[in-house]
Amino acid sequence: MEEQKKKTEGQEKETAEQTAEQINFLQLLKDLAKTQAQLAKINAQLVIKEGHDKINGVIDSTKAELEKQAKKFGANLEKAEKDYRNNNASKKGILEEYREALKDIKDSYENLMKDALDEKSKLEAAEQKIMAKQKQKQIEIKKARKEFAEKEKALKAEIHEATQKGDLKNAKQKIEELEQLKSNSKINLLETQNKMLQNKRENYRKLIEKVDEDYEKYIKDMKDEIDKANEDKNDKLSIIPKQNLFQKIMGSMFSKINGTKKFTQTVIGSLQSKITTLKEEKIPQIKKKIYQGREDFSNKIQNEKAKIEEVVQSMAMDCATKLVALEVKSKEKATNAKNAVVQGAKKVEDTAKQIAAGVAVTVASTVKSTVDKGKRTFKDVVGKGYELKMNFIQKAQDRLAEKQLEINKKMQILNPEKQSQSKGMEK
Amino acid sequence: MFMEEELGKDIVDGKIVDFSKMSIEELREMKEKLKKQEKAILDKINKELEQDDDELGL
Repeated sequence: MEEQKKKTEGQEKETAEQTAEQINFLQLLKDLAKTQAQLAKINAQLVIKEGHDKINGVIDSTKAELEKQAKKFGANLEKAEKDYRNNNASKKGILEEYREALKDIKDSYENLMKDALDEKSKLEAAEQKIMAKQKQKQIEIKKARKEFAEKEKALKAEIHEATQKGDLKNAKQKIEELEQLKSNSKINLLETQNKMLQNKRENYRKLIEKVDEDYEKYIKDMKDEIDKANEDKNDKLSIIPKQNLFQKIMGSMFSKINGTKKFTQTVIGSLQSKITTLKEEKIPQIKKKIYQGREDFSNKIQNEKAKIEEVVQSMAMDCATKLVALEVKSKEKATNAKNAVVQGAKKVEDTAKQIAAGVAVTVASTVKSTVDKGKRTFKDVVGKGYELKMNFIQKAQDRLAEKQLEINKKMQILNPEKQSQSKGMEK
Repeated sequence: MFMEEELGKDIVDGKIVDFSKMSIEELREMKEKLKKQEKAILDKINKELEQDDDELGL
């Protein structure tokens, strides 16, 4: 009785230690999630700022170019801008219109980058779930190994005792029980699942790093696209061809006659036609390209995830084949069941499913189509990703805290004196 | 929790920082710093899981 009590107490103590270990591990995941949320915020800010900076640079240089041209025409840029605003239905200045067109390019790229941030958060959440599962699996392995060793030790002692007494019938029965224990042991299965989780985790990490690279590439693409729009504009704005000194003097004199009107017609006019081309032709093309880019990104992630799952399935099949072969062999020995091998194939399939289910991780997958993603801000994306991770970690921590309470209660029942003594010490 | 905070603000090394007020260079520097921090935590997690594997003889 006392021995059993000690054994139960030892088991509870061990479970308490493992639970505390898991809680500490989850704290690491929490720290990771917090750092990743900060990185997501910075990534969002980088896109916003890089885009703004690029557009500001373009607008500043365009303004400088307009001022330079206005000077050549002896025109007043402010007056020309005011006239343009008054004659324009939107009542916007030419530079404002140009800024809006460029901002449209930036906003389109931001959608692609929101997809990348969103997917990255989901992959990180999946990675963290795998980590937590792996920790849990390792505890299960320790427990299974300990149980197996205890039972094995007991059976071996019984076999030895029966052999010593010459009780061969009993010895044979215990040997069969030992065989059964080995073939029914969960250790192989758990160890394979642990390896599968490790493999899955490494592949998810590689995928996260790929998404990181994609993200930096998208920022560069956005800046290049804005640059391209600007380069085309400059070609059109440089309307005054190279001249010799005489042409320059004469040209300068003639171009200043009715300068503001000429400036508006030529320089502002060419910028206006450039903006129209940008809005009507180039931006729709860029949007189409980005839309395709979003689809491609989404498909790429889905394919990579499918590849990771394929590896998992293949490992599960290998393990199931070995386990079922062991079981069939054992059944043949024990009962000589003739159809054990025939039943094997179906059994392998079922066992593989069972093994794979033990390492499955569910995280809401990316919306397959880019169409129904709706309007999201970076704040929505970053916040959603953070909550996704924290919710799962918090739930796991709460479950473990409940488990700790239960263990404490059990320990108190097992050893009320010790508990009250320790309470007294605390006081 | 997080949603109550601004997208730009956060606490880094015990100090409130406003990412929205940082320049691109400062953001890039902060990104590098946080990536190192993330790697350090990931290394710690890896070590812990590897340690368990070693204990199990895997």
